Amino acid sequence: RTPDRDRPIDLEADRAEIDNVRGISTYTGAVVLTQGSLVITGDRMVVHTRDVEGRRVLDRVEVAGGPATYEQLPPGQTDTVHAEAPRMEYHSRGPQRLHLSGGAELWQRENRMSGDEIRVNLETQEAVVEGREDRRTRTIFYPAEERDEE
Amino acid sequence: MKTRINPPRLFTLIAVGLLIGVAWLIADRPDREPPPDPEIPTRERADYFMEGFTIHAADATGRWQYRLSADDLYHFPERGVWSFARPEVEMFAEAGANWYGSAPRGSAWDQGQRVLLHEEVRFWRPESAVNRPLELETRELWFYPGDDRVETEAHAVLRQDTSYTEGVGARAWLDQQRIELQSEVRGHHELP
Repeated sequence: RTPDRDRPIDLEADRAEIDNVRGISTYTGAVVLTQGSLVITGDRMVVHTRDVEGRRVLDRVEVAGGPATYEQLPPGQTDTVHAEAPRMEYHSRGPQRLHLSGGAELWQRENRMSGDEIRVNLETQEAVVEGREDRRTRTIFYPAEERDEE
Repeated sequence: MKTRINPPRLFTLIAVGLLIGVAWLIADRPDREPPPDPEIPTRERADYFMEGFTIHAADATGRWQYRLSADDLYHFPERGVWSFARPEVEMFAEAGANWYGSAPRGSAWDQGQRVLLHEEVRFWRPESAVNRPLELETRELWFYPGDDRVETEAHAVLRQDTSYTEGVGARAWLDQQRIELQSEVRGHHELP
């Protein structure tokens, strides 16, 4: 399977507005971003670009939703990872990562973590959760079942 | 004594009756008027035409607003419209590169304050120190020089650098250097 990070990014929305000076595109209304198995949904997505050899290329996407949602099937795994948060920021490079904020939850099967912010390195699958006074972090991990070796 | 009409004779009677009725309908009856002659559209007549022309138009302050060139122009007084072949429009921008539009055909009304390009329209803007290059393709595009605005209700595809965005309905505010796609939007971004 071609790694998600090497796939093009497609968006669907009700409307889009393109700023021809700053190279920013704002998609609004039932917005869905897909890149291979990675799917992010939200009410509004702002696509920022960066210069690569004289051409503007998608750099990061700011997502807002009620909540915004994320799901992806990590390479080499069979269980999809899910997340929800009012705000997300997806970086397509350097490394491919996701920053959830405003009260975030991330889960895969019954393993779950929540806190004020969660930062996920999508290439190494490492996640760091940060809390706040009024929103402490919580992490629940279930030991993997022993597989019966035949 | 009851007499019965056997079925074959009944069928013959009905058939003959039908034939008489149809014949009466077709018969050339003097009281029915003949169908009116098909109306032959009188070919709209142009009152003047120009070949190989360029117009430069300025706004109220004297700032050049746009340039309109075409292979030829015909003016039709009944509809008050100019009709062009292979028009090209250049909208002068206060900041950044100018905007350009071209198409196989075009029309204009109200002294050029409404210009329509149609049939495979290309609308583009080259790169400058201020703006990114872009190109929009659609099948018809309205220019409103007075409002510094361009718009279509048709499907449009906007290409920029390594991405394209398409939608149904598009509007560009040239002075604000901003383009909106108004419904059924799809974006595609290639990553290096």
